[in-house]
Amino acid sequence: MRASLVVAALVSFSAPALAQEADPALHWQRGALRGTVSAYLQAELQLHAESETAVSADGRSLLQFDRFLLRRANVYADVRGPWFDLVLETTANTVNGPVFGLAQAYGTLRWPRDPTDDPPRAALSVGLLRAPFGWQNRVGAREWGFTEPTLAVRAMFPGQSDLGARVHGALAWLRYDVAVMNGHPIGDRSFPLLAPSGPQDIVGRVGVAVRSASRETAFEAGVSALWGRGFDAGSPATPDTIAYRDVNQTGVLDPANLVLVPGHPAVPAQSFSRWALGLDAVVRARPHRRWRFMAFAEAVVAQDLDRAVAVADPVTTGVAAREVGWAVGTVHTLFDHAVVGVRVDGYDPNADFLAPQAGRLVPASQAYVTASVLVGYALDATNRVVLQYDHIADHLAVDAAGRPTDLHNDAFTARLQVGM
Amino acid sequence: MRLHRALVATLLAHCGGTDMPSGDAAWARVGGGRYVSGERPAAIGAERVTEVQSPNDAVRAGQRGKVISGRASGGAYTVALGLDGDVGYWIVPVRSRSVLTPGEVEWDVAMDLAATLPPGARALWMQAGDAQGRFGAAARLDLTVQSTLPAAAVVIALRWDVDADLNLIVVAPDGSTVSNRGVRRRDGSLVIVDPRVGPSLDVDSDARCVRDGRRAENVAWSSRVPGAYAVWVEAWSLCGFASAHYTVTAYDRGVPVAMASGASFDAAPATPGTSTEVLRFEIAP
Repeated sequence: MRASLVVAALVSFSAPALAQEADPALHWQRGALRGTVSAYLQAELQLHAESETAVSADGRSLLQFDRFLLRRANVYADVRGPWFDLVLETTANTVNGPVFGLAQAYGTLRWPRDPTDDPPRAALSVGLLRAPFGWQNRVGAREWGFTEPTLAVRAMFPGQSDLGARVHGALAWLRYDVAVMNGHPIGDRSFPLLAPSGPQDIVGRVGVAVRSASRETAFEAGVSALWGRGFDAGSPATPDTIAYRDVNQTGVLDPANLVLVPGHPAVPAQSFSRWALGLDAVVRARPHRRWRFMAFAEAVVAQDLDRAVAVADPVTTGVAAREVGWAVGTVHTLFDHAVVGVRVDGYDPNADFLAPQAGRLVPASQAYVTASVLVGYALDATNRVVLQYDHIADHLAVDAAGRPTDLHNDAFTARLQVGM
Repeated sequence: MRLHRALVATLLAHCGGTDMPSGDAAWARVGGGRYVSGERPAAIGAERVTEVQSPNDAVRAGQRGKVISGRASGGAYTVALGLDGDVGYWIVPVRSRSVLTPGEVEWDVAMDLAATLPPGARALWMQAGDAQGRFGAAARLDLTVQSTLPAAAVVIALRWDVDADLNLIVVAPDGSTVSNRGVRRRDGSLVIVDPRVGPSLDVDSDARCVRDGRRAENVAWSSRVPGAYAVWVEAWSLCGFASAHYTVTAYDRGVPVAMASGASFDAAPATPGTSTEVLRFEIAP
C-alpha cells in the first residue's frame, strides 16, 4: 500500500426541490406526539445505446439494458415526541430483480426537548442512516432533481445508508454532523450492512446554512471528511488438487495433461486505511415569482473508498487507488410546472491506472464524465414526469490500436414519480 | 415495439463512442477482445504477424479456450484475427515486448469456438495493427474443425441449445440400455464393453450443470447392429434455464436415418430419472 496525497477540487450546482407547493404528506398529532407518513414510487423506462440481446461470455449478466424498471417504491414514516424522533423508511425496487428492504431506520434523542426545533441544537441518532458526507448523499431521492446521484457518490456511498451512530445539530447558521459507522453501506459489493473490521468509519461534515427571511433564498455549504478502514477477506486454505489442463488441446483425457495444483494455507484477512475529503454547496432561490431554481456543486477526493463501481482493495492490487469526483448542476422550475436541468459530473476511480499499449504499461485514464440534460413536468413537489439524457464519456471500449476509448453507451431515462 | 426501436435509434444511435458488441453470433469468440462485424480489415499497414503458435491445429466445434499465440513486429499495438467465412473478427492488444526476440512483441488469445462451426478445413487469419489502427498483411493458420460425430457405423446424436444437463439414453436392439450409467442389461446388471467396439456414450455433457460448452452427447457402435432402437432424453436438470430444446439424430454409416426434436420445460419439472421417449427407428440388416 502506498500513502498518497490527493489534491482535487469540486464545485457544482444542482437543483432538487422542483416545486415547493403544499406538502402532500399525511400529518397527524396525538397529544405530544406528531407524525408524518409519505410514500412515493419511481417507475421508469431506460434505453441504453450499448444494449444487445445477448448475455456476457461467462453467462452471468445480461447485455440488454433497455427495460422498464421500478427504481424505488418507498414508504416513509416518522414519529416525533418531545425529546425523540423515530424514522422508518422501507424501499422496494427491481434494479437487480425484485428487492424489498430498509432505506432508513433510526431513532434520535434531541436536545433541547422541543420538537419544533428543526434542526435541534444537538441530537444523537443511532440506526440505519445516511452518512453525513457531501450534499447528494445526505438528501433523499426526491431532492436530487436528476434521476440518480452522480457516479462518484454511487461509488463511494452505494445505497446511501449505513449502520452507525451520529451526533448532529445546529448552532445558529453553523451545522455540524459527525458519525461512527460500520463502513459497509447497503450497496457495498462485499459485506453490505456488516462490519467485518468493526465500526471504523468516522465521517462528518461541518457547514453553514443561511436563508432569507422569506425563506425563498437559501444557501448551504460544507466540508466533509471520512477516515476509516476497508476490509480484505483474505482467502481460505486450499488442499492439493489435481487439475486437467488440455495443454495439447486434443479434448481427450491424457495423463500428461494432469497436473498437481499445490494447496496453500489460509491468507489472513486484513484491513486497510481509506479516507475522503469533500466540499459541497447548494443554493436555492426564487428570482421571479414564476422562476425558481436550485444549483449545487460538489467535489470529493479520496483514497481506496470506492465500494461499488471499481471496488478499491489495495491489499489485492498492492497499490492505493486515488479517487476524484466532482459535479455541478442546476435545475430550474418555470411557471410552477416546467422543469429543466443540466448537470455535469466526473469520476476517476483510479488516477494512477496503467493500461497495456504496444507491449508496455503506460498511464491511462479510467475517468467517466457524464453530461445530463433533464426536462420534465411537475404537478407538485412530488408528482412529476421527467426525461433525462445522459451523455457518458468514458474509457470502457478499445479502439483499433488497442487503446481505451469512449464506449457508445449514452442513456435515456423516462421516469414517472408519483407520491404523497 | 416499433416506437421503442425508433426512440432508441433517434436518441442513442448517434451519440458518439465506440460500439463493443458481444460478438456472440460469431463462430469465434475472444475474451478481452473487441469484436468488429464484417470483413477483415484492408491490409494497408506495415506491421506483420511474425510467428504463430498453436498447440493443436485440430479443433472442435464447441471448444473453449483454444490457445493461439505468437509474435508481431515491434510497432504492433494490436492483432486482429478471425475465421474465414465468419461474420466478424476480433481485435486484441498485444501482451508484452518479446524477451527472446528483441524488437518484436508477443500476443496470445484464448478463443471459444461456437457449437455451430461447420466441420472441415477452416483458416484463421491474423493481422498486426499499428498505433493508427492500420493493419498489415494477413498471416494464416490452417485449422481442421473436427466433426462432433464419432467415426462409427451407427451413431445416435443428441444436441441441445442451452447449458442444461440433458442425458441421452438408448435402448439397443438386444434390449440393453446405454446411458451415462453405463451399458446395462434388461435386469439392470452392468455390461463390460470394449469402448473400441461399443456401444458407448462419448461424454456426459454439462453433467451436474458444470458447463463444458459441448451440449452434445453421442452413443456409437463401431459396427452395424441391425434392429429396433429406442431413444430417450432425460432432463437431469435445466440448470436454471426455463427450457432446453433438443434434437436427436440417428446415423447409419454417416447418413441420417431418423430425427426427432423436442423440449424440456421448467414448468414440467424434470426430476432426476424422469426421461421421455423421443425416437424409435430401425437399422436394416
